[in-house]
Amino acid sequence: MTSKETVRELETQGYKYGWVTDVEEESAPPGLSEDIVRWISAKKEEPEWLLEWRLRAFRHFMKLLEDKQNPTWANVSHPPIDFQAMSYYAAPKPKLELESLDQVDAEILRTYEKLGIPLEEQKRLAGVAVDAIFDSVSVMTTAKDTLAKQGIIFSSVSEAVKEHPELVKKYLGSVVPYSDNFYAALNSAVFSDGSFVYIPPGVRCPLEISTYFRINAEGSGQFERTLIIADKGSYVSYLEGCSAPMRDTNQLHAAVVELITMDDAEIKYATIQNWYPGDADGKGGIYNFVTKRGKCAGANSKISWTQVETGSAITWKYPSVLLQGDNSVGEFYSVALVNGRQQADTGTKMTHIGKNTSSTIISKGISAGHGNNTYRGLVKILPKATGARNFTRCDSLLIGDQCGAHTVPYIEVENPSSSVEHEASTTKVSEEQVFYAQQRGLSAEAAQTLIINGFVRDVVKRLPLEFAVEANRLLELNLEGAVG
Amino acid sequence: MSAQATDEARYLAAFEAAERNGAAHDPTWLRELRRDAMAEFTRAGFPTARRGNEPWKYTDVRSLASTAFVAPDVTEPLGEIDLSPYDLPCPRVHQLVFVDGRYAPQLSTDPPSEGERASHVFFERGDGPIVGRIAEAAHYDVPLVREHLGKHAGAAAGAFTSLNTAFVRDGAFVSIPDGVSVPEPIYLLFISTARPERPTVTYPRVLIVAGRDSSATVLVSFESLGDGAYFTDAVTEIVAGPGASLRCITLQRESDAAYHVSTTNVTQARDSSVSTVTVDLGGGLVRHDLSVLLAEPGASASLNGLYLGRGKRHVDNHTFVDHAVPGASSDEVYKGILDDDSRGVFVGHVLVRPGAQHTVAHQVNKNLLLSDGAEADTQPKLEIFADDVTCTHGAAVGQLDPAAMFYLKSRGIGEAVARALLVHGFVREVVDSIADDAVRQYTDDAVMAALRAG
Repeated sequence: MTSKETVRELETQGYKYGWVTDVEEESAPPGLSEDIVRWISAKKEEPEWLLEWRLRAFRHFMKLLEDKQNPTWANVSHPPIDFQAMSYYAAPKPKLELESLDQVDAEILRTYEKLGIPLEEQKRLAGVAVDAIFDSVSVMTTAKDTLAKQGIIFSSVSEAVKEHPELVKKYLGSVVPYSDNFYAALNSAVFSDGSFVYIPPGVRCPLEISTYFRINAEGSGQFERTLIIADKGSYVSYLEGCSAPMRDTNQLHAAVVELITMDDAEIKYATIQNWYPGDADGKGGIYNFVTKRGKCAGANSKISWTQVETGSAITWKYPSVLLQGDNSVGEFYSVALVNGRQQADTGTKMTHIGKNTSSTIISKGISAGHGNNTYRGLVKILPKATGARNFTRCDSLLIGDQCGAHTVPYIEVENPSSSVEHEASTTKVSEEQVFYAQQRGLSAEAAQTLIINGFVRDVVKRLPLEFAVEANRLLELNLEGAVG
Repeated sequence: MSAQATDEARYLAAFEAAERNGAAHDPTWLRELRRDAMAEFTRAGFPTARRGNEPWKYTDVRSLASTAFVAPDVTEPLGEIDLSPYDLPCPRVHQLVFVDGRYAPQLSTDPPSEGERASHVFFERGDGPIVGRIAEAAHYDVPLVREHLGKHAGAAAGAFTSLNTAFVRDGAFVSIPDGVSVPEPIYLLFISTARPERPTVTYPRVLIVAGRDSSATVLVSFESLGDGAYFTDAVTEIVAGPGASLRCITLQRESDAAYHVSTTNVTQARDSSVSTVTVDLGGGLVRHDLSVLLAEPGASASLNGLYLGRGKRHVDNHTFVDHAVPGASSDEVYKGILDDDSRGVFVGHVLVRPGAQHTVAHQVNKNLLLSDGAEADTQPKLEIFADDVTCTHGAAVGQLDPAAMFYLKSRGIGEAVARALLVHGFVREVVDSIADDAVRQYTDDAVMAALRAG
């Protein structure tokens, strides 16, 4: 099997999550204005302070837009986005007060079934609590009661605003302020919903908490906002997955995720991103412009990001960690696969502020078809970060001669007692390795899969079991051409 | 904005004055080259923007731009200059010396007499290296100079390159004819008197053309006799013909108050090999842009560098290796030692263009941070558009191994010497990449002296 054939097969394979669910949607008219921001806020019956915050973000965004401050530094290209052409809110109608699953629209449930989301009762026993977000609105939060018994709050942000305003007010925007960047400003103005998690001191969350995002309505953007707070000595593992129907038009997904860990707390955050990537010619697909950042506020705390990025026409995403507490730990494990005309510019920022902080970055990029994959990362050691450590490893695998793999790490060290190491390599699947495997009776395709599985293993093994299975399945699907 | 305009306007005025004075007998192509470069510089301006100015993200040249540097006074006679500290430990064979931008015949070697150099015959010889002046080569309209000057470091190389080209009148022209192998190092020495009274600007220019299957070692040195502030805006163009083997060492020991900005562009033909070694031991604000174009298959480049940060020194090395064709290789090692309040910047960009299969590219940058005030910024950047390649890069920032320090101290070696020994060991790899014995010895002595001076 020649690599040309592999590439062709990779290019032509389909997107398996591309159906549209036929439910009645209630959406905002297209366009972005102060009225729309007020309309969203009113729709969600938000308190005055939140509306004010949204409006401040909105004004900041409009100023950035006017000054043409939209980010252009990433290694991606797309036509200018018309922020007035899309709708900033879409919700399945009618909105129900949901108590149990049978109240959820059957069409939506079927959608999630097709996606393989363990939304049903028996799946709860499997240990996963799911908050599913359909377009802009949180549809269902499962296992809420189980979690509530331990004092854990797991709800949509909208609910949290009503039920725990003091927590939301204190932490919303504390890690990613609305002025952080262009898309964070937009998100802060129009964010529709998202998940809110609070783990009280000393509690180890008994379930994997999970959110599933799906963009259904055409011409809508999704702007979810996730906020997770792990109080002293607590632990939580959080998973998110994403998909969207196949459409000819590009849809914008500009999310913000904020994580905060207090002393001795730990958050593990895993993402499997499989938004619709567009067709083979690069038509349609999701623009995934996401700001994710965690703050290790307390000593000995830990934040770990794991991501498997296989979807989206464009991915622009840098899950970062501010290592503020002494001895805090930040981790970033990433697999990014581009195929067709996909573009990914992704990486992380590790900012070492406290003493003896350490960070690890493992990034594995796979480029096929006409895809372009960029790792962009910053490791910054501030003057007070005595004894800070970083280890970075970014590897790229190229399949075919029409794709690109790029590595753009920034390392800034201002403390002499710290040590930073960065290693990177770029190569193709080794002919020798394929030959070796073939000698032992494997087909060329099986050999290739085996090698790619080995290539991403360091990252995939970090995922919780259910997600590791899904990640492997996704990668296999995306490399189906090569597997034969 | 208006202050910015005056900064460039000052250079424009100096340019116009220089063109009026005695540029008339220069060939038309050279006058046009200068004029176009000045227009380009005026258009681009100094890269002083602090937002969205990625190539100058870590290096702020606003103080350089706003200082009113003047051209050195050419009417003043050169005083006695003792060159013995700069002697290589080998016989002087090919040596060109420029003092404050002016050619110093009494300090340069024969061949030959001035008269002999200044003739067509000198520039047309085929049996040995031509180590001459750009001014004379331009005067006789030597084809190689017309063909290459300003062609490898053009407008794309940035405002500082354009500025140098706008003022190019003299400099060193080194040509190695086909098949000629030069056993002795060719030594190009640029000296600044660095008098404190008034800050001067010079535009050292070097053009090296190595013919088919030729071989040579060139040492380009920047030295300072005083501790005043001045601005050196240097440009070196290196053209390696098929199968040529060229080693180019740059030793920079400007004054601590000096601004040193240099651009080096290398273009390599089939099966040529070029090794560059950039050693920074001086300067206040130092910036190097080194670009290597591997234009034909089989070309191989080795880029090495070491920088020593002391006091408030700021050293910024930008390198760019362009794998434009299949089957070329590059290997890069840069090492930095940063002490006091110094800052070292390394941005290494390797580009593998579409179709450049079988590329092998390796790059490493390592930094030793020796004090609380020092900072290291490193950005090893890979941009790859071909699949059948082997590319790696690595970067590290750390400190001296405490166990090694303890070992040396336990054997009665004092703190300072132990440190110097370990640091010397750290940079040894770079110095050892110099193949020529005399140049390596000389460079090593310079490095050791600079380390001890602290």
